[in-house]
Amino acid sequence: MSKHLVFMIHGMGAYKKDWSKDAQATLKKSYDAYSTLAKVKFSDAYSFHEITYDHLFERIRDAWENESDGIKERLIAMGVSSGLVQTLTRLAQSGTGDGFFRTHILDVIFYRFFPTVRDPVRMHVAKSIAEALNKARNASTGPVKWSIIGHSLGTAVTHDTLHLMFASSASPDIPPLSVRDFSLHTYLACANVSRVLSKGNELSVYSSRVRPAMTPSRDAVMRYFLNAWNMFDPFTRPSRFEPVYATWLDTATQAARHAPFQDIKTTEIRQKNVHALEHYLENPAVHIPFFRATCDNLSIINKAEEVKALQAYRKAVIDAHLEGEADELRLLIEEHGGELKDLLSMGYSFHKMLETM
Amino acid sequence: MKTLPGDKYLHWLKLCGSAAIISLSLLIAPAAIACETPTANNVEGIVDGLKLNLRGCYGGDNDSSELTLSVRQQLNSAEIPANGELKESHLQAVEDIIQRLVNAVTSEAIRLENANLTGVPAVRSVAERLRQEAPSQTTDALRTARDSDGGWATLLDEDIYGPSVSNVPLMRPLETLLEPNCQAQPTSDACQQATESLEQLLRVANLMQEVNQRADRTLGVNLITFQRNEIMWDLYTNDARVQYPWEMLLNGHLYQRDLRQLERETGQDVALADRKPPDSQVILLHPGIGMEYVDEASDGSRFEPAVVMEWIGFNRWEYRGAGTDVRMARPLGVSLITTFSDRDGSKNVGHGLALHWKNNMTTGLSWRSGGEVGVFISIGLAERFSTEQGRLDKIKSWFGR
Repeated sequence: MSKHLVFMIHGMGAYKKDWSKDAQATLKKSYDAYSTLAKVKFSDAYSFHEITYDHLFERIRDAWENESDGIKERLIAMGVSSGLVQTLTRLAQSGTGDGFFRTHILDVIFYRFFPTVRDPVRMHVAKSIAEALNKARNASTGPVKWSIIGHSLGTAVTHDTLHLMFASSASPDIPPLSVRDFSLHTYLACANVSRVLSKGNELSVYSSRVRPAMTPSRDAVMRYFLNAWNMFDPFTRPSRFEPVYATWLDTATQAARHAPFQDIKTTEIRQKNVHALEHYLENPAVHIPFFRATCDNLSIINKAEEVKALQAYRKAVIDAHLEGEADELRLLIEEHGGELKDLLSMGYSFHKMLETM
Repeated sequence: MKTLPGDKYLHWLKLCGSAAIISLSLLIAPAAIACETPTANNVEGIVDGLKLNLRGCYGGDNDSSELTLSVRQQLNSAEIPANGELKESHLQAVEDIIQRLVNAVTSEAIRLENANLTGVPAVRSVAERLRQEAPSQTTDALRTARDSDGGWATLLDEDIYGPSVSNVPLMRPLETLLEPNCQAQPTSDACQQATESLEQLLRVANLMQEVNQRADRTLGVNLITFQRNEIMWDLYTNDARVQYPWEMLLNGHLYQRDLRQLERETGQDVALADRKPPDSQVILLHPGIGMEYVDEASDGSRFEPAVVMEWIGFNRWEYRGAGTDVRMARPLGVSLITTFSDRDGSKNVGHGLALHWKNNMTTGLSWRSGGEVGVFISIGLAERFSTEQGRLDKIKSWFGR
């Protein structure tokens, strides 16, 4: 079997090389616990490709910082402390520094409001995927299968990239990427924010081609879409992604035994950072559907194993004693609405909570 | 060569050690998939076995069947280029491989027929469909029409095999082949034969999908386009003049407006392949620094650092080069400016015009209310990450100061 390619796409914040190692280790640990699944070694079953796009935001922040620093120095030397230039310089410097605003909130603002920043991000992700697929098809034995695990802001990036990379070009020299040969197998969206970020934007998440189908087509480019969200994760609550199956999926897909779309609501808090990707992946309610989907096999983890894993996880959750944090998060969510400003505000409050916990 | 007695012991010790390590690793390592034809007391058990074997036994790493080995060898020797530009020799290789797969499926149909088993027409329909996908039988129009048929996928959870038309798959392998021949007697020779035939069909589907992927032209073409576009975006972000947040918003808005215009004209979303960066930028309220020379100023105050405000301006360029060898060419721009400097013997504020050369140098003239003319020069971009003093020193060094 050729290894199943899994692309990892990060969320907001600072990310460097190897950022996905912990998430991979979490998945491996879970994988090894299921006997039938583990008959194929984890490293033989999956090949992970992390995609990092944070550097595309970082280079802009750095350019602003360097440009405005020079002017600031000159203004100080000239003894100027007010005026338009001073104001503009201050404005340019508001996106710099190392605070939460710069490393997290600004990522979301860049992606949502700056088209000449978000399209390079999409291009980078699409190119990284296409490069890996091209390499795999020439090197692997067996058909190439590929999936994506997207997290937080990465779910919006994934959504837009998939929709646009499978769109037909206006140029007759560029045929659209074949859905038949290279449709996505499984998309695991953890803390999906694609809907709130699409509000008033160019791509609507419910009418895009980012949807599953028994028979993938230009209108539905994947086989499985797993939408995992934790009810205490503040990022998932504003304008939650909740499509109406009757209109979003075709009838054959709705009737499938192995559900192509699964809305996975989790209620457990095992670590303080309820939003962390690892926190999602360690939960059997999330990783079991992922393993089943990527193996195209509902019985690869049997019901008894599933029940046992869920019970063990819930026991670990009880042992973690995070009821107080759950109450705080519940309050935070109840205080906010469903708009982008609520997402950003909750993100900031959540960050402060994590700092004080 | 003479062997010493000590060497013999060492040799045996090494052998015993190796045996112990191998035994231990077999105990620790998970039991690998054996790739044997599954048998069970019911159809469900057989299906579970087939699903498990789909993890590498049918056309995958663990498959040592003659069909898989020969197809893989043919695929490798065909040397299909990564960009999908298929020459006659590549097409012939794909034709030969598909014929080999057709023969394999036809053989299964004959075996089933000879054994008087159910499912022969369905298996023959698979062979026929394979035949239709040979390059000699396929046109571009057919290829486009097939893009939404799901390809040669196998979903045993849903009893789906092969391309679908209106959500009806080419074959329902459990319903047409396995259940009729196995339901009554799961351990019979008939069931064994049906299971083996299904295994061969699964192998063929995977090999066909692999062949299609290898010969796919669209991936290579789109990859080159994405690579080229990414380089162009890098040039736009890194090599064009730095944009402040408000300039990025404005230029982003103009870019988005052009995309919408394109969408209206084509009636569809602008594909990622068509999303190339702008070839111009509007400059708005852009403060910067440089050196300004005012001849009328007092000695020692003629060549001084200055802050320059570009009120509004425009910068444009071209992208040139083929494939991924793309570069920015002829960048040129102009801005209305005001300069501020602190010098003796001349007004501190001047208004004028600046020209932007190659994105990294700006030269301009400024006029003061007293009639003095200032010559302004600044460097950006290439020195984007240097300090203010570094930039000014560089300009000074050009003038031997």
